[in-house]
Amino acid sequence: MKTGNRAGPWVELMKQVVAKPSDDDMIALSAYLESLDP
Amino acid sequence: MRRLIAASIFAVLPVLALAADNPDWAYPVTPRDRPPPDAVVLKTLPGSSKQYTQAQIDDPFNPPDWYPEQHPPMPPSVAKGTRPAGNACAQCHLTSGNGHPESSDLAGLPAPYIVRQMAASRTANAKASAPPT
Repeated sequence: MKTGNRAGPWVELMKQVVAKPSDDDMIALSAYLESLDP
Repeated sequence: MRRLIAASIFAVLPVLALAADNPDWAYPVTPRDRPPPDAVVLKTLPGSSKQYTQAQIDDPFNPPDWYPEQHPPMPPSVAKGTRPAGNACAQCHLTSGNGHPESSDLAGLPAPYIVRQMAASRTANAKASAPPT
Protein backbone atom coordinates (compact mmCIF):
# COMPACT_ATOMS: atom_id res chain seq x y z
CA MET A 1 0.00 0.00 0.00
CA LYS A 2 2.68 2.45 1.01
CA THR A 3 4.63 1.82 -2.18
CA GLY A 4 1.64 1.59 -4.47
CA ASN A 5 1.47 -2.18 -4.98
CA ARG A 6 -1.77 -2.42 -3.07
CA ALA A 7 -4.52 -0.61 -4.92
CA GLY A 8 -8.24 -0.07 -4.61
CA PRO A 9 -10.79 2.71 -4.25
CA TRP A 10 -10.06 3.28 -0.53
CA VAL A 11 -6.32 2.84 -0.59
CA GLU A 12 -5.55 6.57 -0.40
CA LEU A 13 -7.18 6.76 3.04
CA MET A 14 -5.34 3.74 4.42
CA LYS A 15 -2.00 4.78 2.91
CA GLN A 16 -1.89 7.79 5.20
CA VAL A 17 -3.06 5.80 8.20
CA VAL A 18 -0.44 3.07 7.93
CA ALA A 19 2.40 5.41 7.01
CA LYS A 20 3.39 6.51 10.50
CA PRO A 21 1.95 4.43 13.33
CA SER A 22 4.57 3.68 15.97
CA ASP A 23 5.17 0.16 17.23
CA ASP A 24 3.31 1.10 20.40
CA ASP A 25 0.34 2.30 18.34
CA MET A 26 0.22 -0.95 16.39
CA ILE A 27 0.43 -3.07 19.53
CA ALA A 28 -2.28 -1.03 21.26
CA LEU A 29 -4.74 -1.09 18.37
CA SER A 30 -4.16 -4.75 17.57
CA ALA A 31 -4.70 -5.68 21.23
CA TYR A 32 -7.89 -3.62 21.24
CA LEU A 33 -9.21 -5.31 18.09
CA GLU A 34 -8.39 -8.76 19.42
CA SER A 35 -10.34 -7.97 22.61
CA LEU A 36 -13.56 -7.26 20.65
CA ASP A 37 -16.25 -9.85 20.04
CA PRO A 38 -16.32 -10.83 16.37
CA MET B 1 -22.18 -19.46 -38.38
CA ARG B 2 -22.12 -21.14 -34.96
CA ARG B 3 -18.38 -20.70 -34.79
CA LEU B 4 -18.75 -17.02 -35.60
CA ILE B 5 -21.31 -16.55 -32.80
CA ALA B 6 -19.16 -18.48 -30.34
CA ALA B 7 -16.09 -16.44 -31.30
CA SER B 8 -18.06 -13.21 -30.86
CA ILE B 9 -19.16 -14.24 -27.38
CA PHE B 10 -15.59 -15.03 -26.35
CA ALA B 11 -14.47 -11.69 -27.78
CA VAL B 12 -17.00 -9.80 -25.63
CA LEU B 13 -16.34 -11.67 -22.37
CA PRO B 14 -13.18 -9.76 -21.37
CA VAL B 15 -15.01 -6.45 -21.86
CA LEU B 16 -17.84 -7.61 -19.59
CA ALA B 17 -15.34 -8.83 -17.01
CA LEU B 18 -13.55 -5.47 -16.96
CA ALA B 19 -16.82 -3.59 -16.51
CA ALA B 20 -17.75 -5.84 -13.59
CA ASP B 21 -14.40 -5.43 -11.79
CA ASN B 22 -15.29 -2.30 -9.85
CA PRO B 23 -19.05 -1.79 -9.96
CA ASP B 24 -20.13 1.59 -8.62
CA TRP B 25 -22.68 0.04 -6.28
CA ALA B 26 -19.98 -1.98 -4.53
CA TYR B 27 -17.41 0.82 -4.32
CA PRO B 28 -19.33 4.05 -3.66
CA VAL B 29 -17.27 7.23 -3.65
CA THR B 30 -18.30 10.39 -1.82
CA PRO B 31 -19.24 13.16 -4.27
CA ARG B 32 -16.78 16.08 -4.29
CA ASP B 33 -19.25 18.99 -4.43
CA ARG B 34 -21.49 18.53 -1.45
CA PRO B 35 -22.46 21.09 1.21
CA PRO B 36 -20.71 21.05 4.61
CA PRO B 37 -22.35 18.68 7.11
CA ASP B 38 -24.99 20.04 9.47
CA ALA B 39 -23.61 21.16 12.85
CA VAL B 40 -26.93 21.88 14.58
CA VAL B 41 -29.36 18.97 14.46
CA LEU B 42 -28.58 16.22 16.98
CA LYS B 43 -29.00 12.62 15.91
CA THR B 44 -29.09 9.44 17.94
CA LEU B 45 -29.39 5.68 17.47
CA PRO B 46 -31.69 3.14 19.12
CA GLY B 47 -30.35 2.12 22.53
CA SER B 48 -27.70 4.86 22.59
CA SER B 49 -27.63 7.72 25.08
CA LYS B 50 -25.27 9.65 22.81
CA GLN B 51 -26.22 12.44 20.43
CA TYR B 52 -24.11 13.85 17.63
CA THR B 53 -24.55 16.30 14.79
CA GLN B 54 -23.70 15.18 11.28
CA ALA B 55 -20.53 17.30 11.47
CA GLN B 56 -19.48 15.39 14.60
CA ILE B 57 -20.38 12.06 13.00
CA ASP B 58 -18.17 12.91 10.02
CA ASP B 59 -15.20 14.09 12.14
CA PRO B 60 -12.27 11.86 11.12
CA PHE B 61 -10.35 12.68 14.31
CA ASN B 62 -13.15 12.16 16.82
CA PRO B 63 -15.75 9.85 15.28
CA PRO B 64 -18.89 9.01 17.25
CA ASP B 65 -18.86 6.38 19.97
CA TRP B 66 -22.54 5.44 20.07
CA TYR B 67 -22.22 2.55 22.51
CA PRO B 68 -19.20 3.21 24.76
CA GLU B 69 -20.37 0.60 27.30
CA GLN B 70 -19.98 -2.15 24.67
CA HIS B 71 -16.22 -2.01 24.25
CA PRO B 72 -13.07 -1.57 26.35
CA PRO B 73 -11.25 1.79 26.44
CA MET B 74 -9.97 2.65 22.98
CA PRO B 75 -6.30 3.43 22.32
CA PRO B 76 -5.68 6.94 20.89
CA SER B 77 -5.11 5.70 17.33
CA VAL B 78 -8.54 4.05 17.32
CA ALA B 79 -10.47 6.90 18.95
CA LYS B 80 -8.69 10.02 17.70
CA GLY B 81 -6.17 9.04 15.03
CA THR B 82 -3.10 11.12 14.33
CA ARG B 83 -3.35 14.52 12.70
CA PRO B 84 -2.98 15.68 10.01
CA ALA B 85 -3.67 12.62 7.87
CA GLY B 86 -4.02 9.56 10.10
CA ASN B 87 -7.76 9.27 10.53
CA ALA B 88 -9.11 7.51 13.61
CA CYS B 89 -9.52 3.78 12.95
CA ALA B 90 -13.06 4.00 14.39
CA GLN B 91 -14.15 6.37 11.63
CA CYS B 92 -14.28 3.51 9.11
CA HIS B 93 -13.97 0.35 11.19
CA LEU B 94 -16.22 1.65 14.01
CA THR B 95 -15.55 1.35 17.73
CA SER B 96 -16.92 -2.20 17.53
CA GLY B 97 -14.38 -3.12 14.83
CA ASN B 98 -17.23 -4.39 12.67
CA GLY B 99 -16.72 -1.72 10.02
CA HIS B 100 -18.95 -0.21 7.38
CA PRO B 101 -19.88 -2.18 4.25
CA GLU B 102 -16.88 -0.72 2.43
CA SER B 103 -14.36 -1.29 5.24
CA SER B 104 -13.00 -4.45 6.78
CA ASP B 105 -14.48 -6.22 9.78
CA LEU B 106 -11.54 -6.37 12.20
CA ALA B 107 -13.26 -7.33 15.45
CA GLY B 108 -11.69 -10.30 17.20
CA LEU B 109 -8.88 -10.81 14.71
CA PRO B 110 -5.67 -12.02 16.37
CA ALA B 111 -3.32 -9.20 17.39
CA PRO B 112 -0.31 -10.77 15.62
CA TYR B 113 -2.34 -10.88 12.39
CA ILE B 114 -3.17 -7.15 12.61
CA VAL B 115 0.45 -6.27 13.34
CA ARG B 116 1.58 -8.42 10.40
CA GLN B 117 -0.94 -6.83 8.04
CA MET B 118 0.02 -3.29 9.01
CA ALA B 119 3.70 -4.13 8.65
CA ALA B 120 2.95 -5.73 5.27
CA SER B 121 1.10 -2.61 4.17
CA ARG B 122 4.20 -0.58 4.92
CA THR B 123 6.35 -2.84 2.76
CA ALA B 124 3.71 -3.43 0.04
CA ASN B 125 3.46 -7.16 0.74
CA ALA B 126 -0.22 -7.04 1.70
CA LYS B 127 -2.64 -8.35 -0.89
CA ALA B 128 -5.54 -6.25 -2.16
CA SER B 129 -9.07 -7.22 -1.24
CA ALA B 130 -10.38 -5.33 -4.26
CA PRO B 131 -9.09 -5.35 -7.82
CA PRO B 132 -6.70 -2.49 -8.71
CA THR B 133 -8.27 0.58 -10.27
